[in-house]
Amino acid sequence: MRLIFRLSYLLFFSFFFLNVSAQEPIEIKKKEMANISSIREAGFIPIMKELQISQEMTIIDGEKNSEIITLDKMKGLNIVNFWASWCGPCIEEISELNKFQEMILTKNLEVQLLGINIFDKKKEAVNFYLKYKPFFKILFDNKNTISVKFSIMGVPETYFVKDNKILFKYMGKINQDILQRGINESLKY
Amino acid sequence: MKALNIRVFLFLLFLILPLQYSQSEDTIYEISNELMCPVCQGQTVAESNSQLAISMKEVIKIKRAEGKSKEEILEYFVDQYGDTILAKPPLKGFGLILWITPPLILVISILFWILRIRRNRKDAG
Repeated sequence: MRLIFRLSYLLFFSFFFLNVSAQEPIEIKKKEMANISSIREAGFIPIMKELQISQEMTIIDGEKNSEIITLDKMKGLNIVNFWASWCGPCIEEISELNKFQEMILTKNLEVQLLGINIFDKKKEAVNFYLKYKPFFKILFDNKNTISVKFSIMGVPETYFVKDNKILFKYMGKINQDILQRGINESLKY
Repeated sequence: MKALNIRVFLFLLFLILPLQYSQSEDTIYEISNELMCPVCQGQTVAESNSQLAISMKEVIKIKRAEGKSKEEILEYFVDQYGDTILAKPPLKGFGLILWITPPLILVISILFWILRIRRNRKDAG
């Protein structure tokens, strides 16, 4: 009887051991953990993943025949905000994002603010643009697949992408303080 | 005769084409049924009509058209959302514990009761 229990304990803990031993070297892990905890403390969700993307997107500018661009390698620091026309917090955060874009332009910061419409029809995205007039570049996802490429869980979500690497994201309504905190945090990488 | 042969061939082709289409639709359903919808409560991507699930189905469709296998597509989603995206936990690490623990508990409890009954019989004897 004791043997059975001992064997079952041994089996159970051996799985934990196998799981731990399969992980990366301790030194790399420590550095990564320090970065990740700093991101969490700042209120963001760490991602740290290379962005693999090459997607045709339509620029939303209120024109009928809008320009189609290919969104691929994102150089420098990019702040990518995902929104939908039916999402309340997305409407509320537009004024904050507009103020932030003004600040980027006046201070000549090397940051690109980008808005991407998802989970919508193009017509709804255009109507939203005409109604709320965002100052920053707005793109429409023609293929309806970009949300998966960024591992999106809902709207609004704001991603901080530096040299084509997604560093972290913020879930929910964003404001200027959070955006500034995100830039400060991005400077560490 | 020749015209009849062509007609028969076209008729057979007409019958086979939807079959091929349904096979690829089946694979898309099969893959999306093995993925959990990240924004839903206990629903797979196949069952969900949420916007994200629709996008995920679209990605599956594109990847299938590119000739990617079921395993490659599942791997892509695991890379994007982590192991929790899989409807069935993987047979490795902590997932292995989830698979093995229930039958292991069952076997241990059966052994426990067999030994207990035997001991009781011995004591009674």
